[in-house]
Amino acid sequence: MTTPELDALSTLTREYAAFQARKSGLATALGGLMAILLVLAALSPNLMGADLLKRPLLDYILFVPFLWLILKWLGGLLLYRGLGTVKAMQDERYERRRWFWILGLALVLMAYILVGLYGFMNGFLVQHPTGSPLCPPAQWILLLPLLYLLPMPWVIRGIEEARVYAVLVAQCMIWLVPPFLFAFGPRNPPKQAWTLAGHLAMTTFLVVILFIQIWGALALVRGWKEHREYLALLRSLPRES
Amino acid sequence: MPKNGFTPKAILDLDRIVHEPARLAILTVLAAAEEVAFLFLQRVTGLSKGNLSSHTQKLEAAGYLETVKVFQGRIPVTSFRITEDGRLALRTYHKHLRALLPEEGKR
Amino acid sequence: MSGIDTQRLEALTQTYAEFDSRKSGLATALGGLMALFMTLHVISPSMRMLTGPWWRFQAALVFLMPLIWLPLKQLLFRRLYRGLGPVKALREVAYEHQKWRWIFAIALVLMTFQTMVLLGFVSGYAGVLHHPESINHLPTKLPALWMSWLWVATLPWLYLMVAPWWIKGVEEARAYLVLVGQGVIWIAFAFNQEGANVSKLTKAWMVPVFLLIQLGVFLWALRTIKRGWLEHREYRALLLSMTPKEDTP
Repeated sequence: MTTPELDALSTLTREYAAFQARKSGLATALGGLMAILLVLAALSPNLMGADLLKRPLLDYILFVPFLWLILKWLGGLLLYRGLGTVKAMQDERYERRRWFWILGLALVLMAYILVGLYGFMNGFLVQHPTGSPLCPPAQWILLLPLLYLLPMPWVIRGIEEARVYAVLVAQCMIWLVPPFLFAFGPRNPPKQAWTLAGHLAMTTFLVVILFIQIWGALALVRGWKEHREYLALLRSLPRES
Repeated sequence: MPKNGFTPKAILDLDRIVHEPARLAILTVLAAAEEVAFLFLQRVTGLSKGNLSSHTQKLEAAGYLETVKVFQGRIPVTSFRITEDGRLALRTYHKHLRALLPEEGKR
Repeated sequence: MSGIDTQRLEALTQTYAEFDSRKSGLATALGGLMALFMTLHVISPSMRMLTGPWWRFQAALVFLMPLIWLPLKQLLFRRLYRGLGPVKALREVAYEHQKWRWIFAIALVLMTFQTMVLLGFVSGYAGVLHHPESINHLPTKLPALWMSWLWVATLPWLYLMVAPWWIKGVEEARAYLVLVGQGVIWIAFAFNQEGANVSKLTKAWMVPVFLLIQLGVFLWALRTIKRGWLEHREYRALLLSMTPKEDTP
């Protein structure tokens, strides 16, 4: 057996193990697709025959990250484990980066709750103490940020997955804001010119939407490429002697 | 003794457990991961089941790998792990072989 | 150098490196001491009698205790355990995993607290909507109180933000979790309004749970102080064993 052959064997094993430990292939692509669809669904109230403020659509949107986790798990099991389990070598640096992603998302979610808390105290209670809501979202929805975070260390295996999950969760958080604003906001909103803060918020929102679309498209391509890489890996395996 | 100080004993001293091509392939694969399933090892090395079993038994007897048996539901799944001794043996083998090869044969 | 000598050298280096990368000795003991102080200080009658700015200062001290512990422990560590320069321990992935899981537990505790507070506000607001007459019973100074203590609301976020950079080992993560847990408990209590409408059932389970937590903290603190002290003595012994003996003429 020659040195290049031994090297190839080593690389093959590492690649296969990486698919089980870190890479997700089609699951990444699926995440990108779901992120794009989420934007389109939320931006076009009639796309799915439902109003943004109506419960079913909102509920669907908020459960997308969990749906992706389940699909990803199923995909991993069906697509990337044909030859049994191969555990990758543990890489402390990679693990550290993975944990930073998990805690980073925790910080984002906590900041979100903090802003919600501030908004509630400062805006709703002070300015509209008696304004009845149009269609208040269910209170259990407020538990979702915590539920998004809870399974992360166990279900998020790699940085690629952490990125997909972070985008999906962040999107849900974005779509959670308008229903709350509409539900708890004043019945007759004051007619006044847009403030600088309003313009800034709108611009940021549009930039984020654009970013998600681009990211989603890139994730689609990357996931598909990874999947083809895996298929090539399977093809390169020798036949039984 | 040859002029360049070469002794055939150096070749004869190579670890024969590692030197066998199939076992060398098995150890190379195991060294690239933490734990490797039987099925993957079989496909990647291209060995038959019986052949692979006999080689892994020899490697286990030499203390170069350990077998991990777990049940996934009711199906028994066999995996292998390289031991520290196995890793050392593979490294030593590489070193010895490189030292023995002529310059153009080294990569 | 004999075989025994090399073994001893290896053990010495490993112990020193352990201190450098994972253990904290007296710094952990200080964490235990601070957790004890938080409990005793808040339940002491003197705290309740205080009013005005002095009360504010003392409350702020309690809330900031976890963030005060971090630089203090670092300072203590540098003074006490780095006399011979830094020595990095061998990397151990399993240990790192354990440490990160503890930091994640801190994140979960903090986020649960925040979520509970938000749920409390929203359900309170929903209550007002169902019974508009109850608006008259809302504490009128609540927004003003909120504004003056706004920085307290950002504390859970800050507690988590600094953790990955300042926490070295599992022992430290545990100490920090206890301090942070105590911090949020006291934040919750400090904002409890007089005459708040708390049901009898809630009161019935809240008091025993609170007492149980405090008892747990008390026992943990005593154990941590003892362990920290033992670790410190271990380190002293290590240094002593390294001191070269002067050659006798």
